[in-house]
Amino acid sequence: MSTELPELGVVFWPVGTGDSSTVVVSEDVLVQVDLNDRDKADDETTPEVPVVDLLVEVLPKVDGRPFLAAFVLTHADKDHCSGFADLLEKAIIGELWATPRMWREYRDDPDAEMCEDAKAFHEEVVRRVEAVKKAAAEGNEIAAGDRVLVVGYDTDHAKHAYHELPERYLVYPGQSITKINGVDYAGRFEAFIHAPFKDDCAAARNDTSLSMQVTLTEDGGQDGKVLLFGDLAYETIMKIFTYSEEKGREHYLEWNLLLAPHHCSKKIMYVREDGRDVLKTDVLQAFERHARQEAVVVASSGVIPVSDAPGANPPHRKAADRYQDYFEFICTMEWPSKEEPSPVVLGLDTNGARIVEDSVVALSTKSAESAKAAGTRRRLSEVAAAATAAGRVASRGATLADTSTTPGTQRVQAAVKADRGSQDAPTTTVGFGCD
Amino acid sequence: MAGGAVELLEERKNFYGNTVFTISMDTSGLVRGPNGITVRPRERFKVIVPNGFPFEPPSVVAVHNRWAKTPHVQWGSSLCLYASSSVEWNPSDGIRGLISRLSTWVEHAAAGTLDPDGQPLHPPAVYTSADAGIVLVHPDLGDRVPWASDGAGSEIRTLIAWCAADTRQRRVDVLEWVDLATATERADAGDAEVFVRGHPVVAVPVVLTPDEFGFEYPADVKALSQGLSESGYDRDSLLLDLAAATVLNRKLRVKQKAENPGAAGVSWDESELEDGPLLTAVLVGTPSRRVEGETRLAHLAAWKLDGLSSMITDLFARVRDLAVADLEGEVRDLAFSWFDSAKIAWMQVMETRPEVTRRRDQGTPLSWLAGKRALVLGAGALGAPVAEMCVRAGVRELTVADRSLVTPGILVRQPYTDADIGQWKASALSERLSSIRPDVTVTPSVGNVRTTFFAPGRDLSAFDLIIDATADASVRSAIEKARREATIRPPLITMVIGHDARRGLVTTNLTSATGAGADTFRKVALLASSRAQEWTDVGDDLFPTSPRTQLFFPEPGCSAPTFVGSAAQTTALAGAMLSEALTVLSRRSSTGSTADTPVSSASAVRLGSASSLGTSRAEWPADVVQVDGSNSYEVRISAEALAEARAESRRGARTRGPEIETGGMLLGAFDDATGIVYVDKVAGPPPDSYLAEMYFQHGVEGVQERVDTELERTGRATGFVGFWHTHPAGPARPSPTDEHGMASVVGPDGTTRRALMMILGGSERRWAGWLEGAAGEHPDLYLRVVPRSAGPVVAGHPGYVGGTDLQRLPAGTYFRGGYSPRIRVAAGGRATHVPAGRSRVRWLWRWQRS
Repeated sequence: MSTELPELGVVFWPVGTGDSSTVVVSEDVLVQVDLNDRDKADDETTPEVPVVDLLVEVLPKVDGRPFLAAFVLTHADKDHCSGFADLLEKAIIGELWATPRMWREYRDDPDAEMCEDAKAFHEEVVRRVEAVKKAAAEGNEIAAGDRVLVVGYDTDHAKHAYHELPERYLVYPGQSITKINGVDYAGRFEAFIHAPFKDDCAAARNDTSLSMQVTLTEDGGQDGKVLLFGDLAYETIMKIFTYSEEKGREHYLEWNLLLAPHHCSKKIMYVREDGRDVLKTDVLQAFERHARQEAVVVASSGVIPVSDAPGANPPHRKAADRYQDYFEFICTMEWPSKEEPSPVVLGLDTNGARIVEDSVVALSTKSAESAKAAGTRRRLSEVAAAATAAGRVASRGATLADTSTTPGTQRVQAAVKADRGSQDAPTTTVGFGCD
Repeated sequence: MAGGAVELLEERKNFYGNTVFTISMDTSGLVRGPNGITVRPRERFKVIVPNGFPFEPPSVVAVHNRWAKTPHVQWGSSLCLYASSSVEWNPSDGIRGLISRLSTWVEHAAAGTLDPDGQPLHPPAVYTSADAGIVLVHPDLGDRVPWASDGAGSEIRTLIAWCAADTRQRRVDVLEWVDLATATERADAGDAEVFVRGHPVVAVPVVLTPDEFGFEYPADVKALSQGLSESGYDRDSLLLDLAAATVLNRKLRVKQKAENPGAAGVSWDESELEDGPLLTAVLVGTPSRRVEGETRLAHLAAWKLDGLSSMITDLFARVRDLAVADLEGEVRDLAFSWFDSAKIAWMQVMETRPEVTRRRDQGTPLSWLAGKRALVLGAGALGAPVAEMCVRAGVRELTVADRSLVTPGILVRQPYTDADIGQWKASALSERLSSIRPDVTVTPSVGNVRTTFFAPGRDLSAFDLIIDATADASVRSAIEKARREATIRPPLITMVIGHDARRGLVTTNLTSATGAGADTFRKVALLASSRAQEWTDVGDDLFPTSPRTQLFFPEPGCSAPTFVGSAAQTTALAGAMLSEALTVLSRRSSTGSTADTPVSSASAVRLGSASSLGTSRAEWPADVVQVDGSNSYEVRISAEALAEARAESRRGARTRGPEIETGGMLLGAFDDATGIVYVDKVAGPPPDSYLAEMYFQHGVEGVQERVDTELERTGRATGFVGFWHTHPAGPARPSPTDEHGMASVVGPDGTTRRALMMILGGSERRWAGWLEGAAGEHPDLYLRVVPRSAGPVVAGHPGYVGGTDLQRLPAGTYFRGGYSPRIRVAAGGRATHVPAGRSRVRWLWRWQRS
């Protein structure tokens, strides 16, 4: 087996509960989908992980500056955009993909609570929209670092500044994007936009997440497909499946890797009805229908708890269990072990798309160092090496005490035994009497 | 439930109205063994809960085919959780038990430690009708299979199963495996045998593939042929082989209808074709895991094609027969299009192949009977169930002998039917037993068993076992006599039941036993009369000291008296007795024998209030048997009697000197019917005896009391039969003095009309060996029954003793019978010690050393 990582691939960083995925389209073209730099961690228990620094380190250089071809923000939650301001400062970002959502939030409530990075993102987007409009008006080339794409519907389109952008900078669900930073990579890269839907534009922020299927195709024609749903929940996901199936666009639903929506939240397959979580297997079956051979679900989350505390944030044990019922399942902070997480790398070569074994990733990150020294570039290896370093930091101090090591069958037997009821006599005294 | 260890995902009703639950189970952290299945951290299962739940166990299927072709996974995804659900499924524990079992199953399957036995015999789903019929597989496939003993191989082999079909019973019996050429030859032969046991012969194609059933249980021809093509047997081959068999079956059918339209039966399916085949089916054989040892044996499944597909294969066969190339192609395409839509039905395969089946009675005492030739005497309450048990246990040949008719009264407890009334029991029973196993020869014998089987010179070598279930003393006697004279003595089992059917007594005599049932019954009676605790009730029941006055006459008039007892009792006793006897027989047959090895045994089995005593068993070594000097009696000296004589001889040698003779009375019985003299016990010398080196004079003191006691104690079974004395280290033959003495006993003034004279002697070494108790040693014996002469006792008569009066005690030094010191007796001395007022019966033996 090769110890080299292929050229094309996607790296899912093991950085706790939060998305940070890097799509390597070529040696020089990298697309970052969401970012979770914990440098400014406000939580004592969460270690600081300098994701931005590690990422910038492995970015290609253009005119001496680190260059990221595109940054895609699914939605403006902290665990998807933290570190953006830092990244913007340290690297040139060719193109930003943004949803109309933030304009709406600012319009509806100018004092809306928004994290610093989200604000920085929005300000940058607003700046770029103006720059693009200006360049378009003047018939000029758009300057490097000024490009922007607004992805998704908003019923109030007309009320926002971006409305006046030329049509080619506006992308709607049902369309495919093959251009990155103005360069067409058709036949190598395609992002099919599933959401946000127009009808959801006023819904909670999570429900307006950008959702897309990213297809990478290598020179021999083998492709790998990743389904990204951001923080969408059951209803919107089902809507995506129903809609695309009705339109006969099943190929846009296929997947080799599904990033578990909302960091392995149970809201993907459980719906609250009458105060109870009710399982919806139709969504699991929808996933199953479109899963390719050896498909894998990846949860970009901290270690899955043994059980779910009421009201706890994702990841949820229940969701992980359901994915495991149907598919191979990987939690970024548990793969290959909780103690030493290694990035999940979906590699694409002539054999097709597959999760690269952790041992290969480890070897490759070592060889990346020497490759770099020798002047040859293996971008995917370098990104993997950076993510490995991030994972090493992120796992530090993670409390593992609450994780289970009991084999499943023992748990099942214990559960059966508990359900049968004990035959032991009470161990405490019991008083009876007449007062 | 329980933090996600088990989760219910879905619930729905299936086609059959059963509830199907999809569950998910935590299966993480399992260690995968070398042959284990790959288990993911969580697995989903479908639990099909039948309407009869919890009294019917649910079945479980995996939702995928990943575990196909692994042990205990059938038809691709059905899990075999329970080897025997009737024992292992606990309704009270319900789904909890199922989940627990499933979890254990997964754990073991992952570790690869599931018992490799088990095979897909049944379709996984509930099937609503058994219309497709059954297939019984009789002959072994053996090395006809195309795989190596470990199951390896890639070749497909086809055969023809030569079968007999019973269309009314929807039953096909596979009689033989043949190749197509042989089958064709048979079907074409002018004198083809087209019926077997009255059923038409049919050829069924067989496909043997080294691949295991990894495919889903097929419900139509398409699925079956797809499954088979995965193993390399394509649709073309299937159609061709079916057509080839159809050609054969058409030929057979024509002959069957011509030969015997009645027996030919109607076609299996409604849609009968003119001269069409009787049945279209296919047998598929794959290597089975259920093996003892390493060899992989064929597992067989059978599918019957429906009427439509039968017609297609028939049509195809006819076209092929016409050999029209173009038409064949068209028909072939048409055949395939119909073929694919045709339904097939699963025929229940019932294995009787020795190579894959294990007898349910293996290792039990009755398995001794397998392959044996048995004779059962009596076909009544004991004999009829015993004969049936013999057939079921696998005897090769069975003869049932009885001389009576089936009457209405016996139906209360004997296994006959109303329709049998008026028939000979032996005939009715034989007929019924033959229907249990068509392969066994059951021969009835009507009439007197004594004259049929035990007449002088009758050879009994045709039997490996004789079971006397007549409970008839005359039969026992006849067997005893016949056995005495026989050169070949099959093992003998004799059984009777007590007067109220609460006890059964069964005796077993091995080939090496000289005695038969009567002999052993006698021993039981003696044992019982000795008040041996275990046997007292047997004695009271079966050997009462006074005859039972209240005999039970079931029918008016002069019907045979019998006992009161139910079918439950008699059958239970019959079974218990047969099992007990065969326990003895199978054990004794397998162990070596010495002189002390028991050759006869008796067991008492008990029911009801007697049952707390359980089963008692007694065993006896062989008697010392010798034909008496007059050549008219067989003398059987019990081991006990000889041991007593030895004890007395040793005591004499110790207290009186090794050269002093001793002796005493012989206690036993004469049986004139069988010509046997039983010596059960010996007595020592009475106190008033005189014992010396050359003389032994038996006293009289206490002698009658001793005999009376014995008679009373044994219910008059044992009494005075004669005298014994020793010739220490001398020849065992009578001196003239001995002859005279005996003659006087049986003389007209004596007390008995015949007496047995027994002299114990032998060379010094032999004598010493016996006294010292060397194994298997016994002294030389002289035995003669001395009869009373009807006329004058003259020379040549056994009672002739010459004319000399020798009743005088010679002068010399004598010991007395008791422990008194030695005394002297003067020459011609009178017996002054003999108490007056008693009959002066005296005997005198004199031994002159020559």
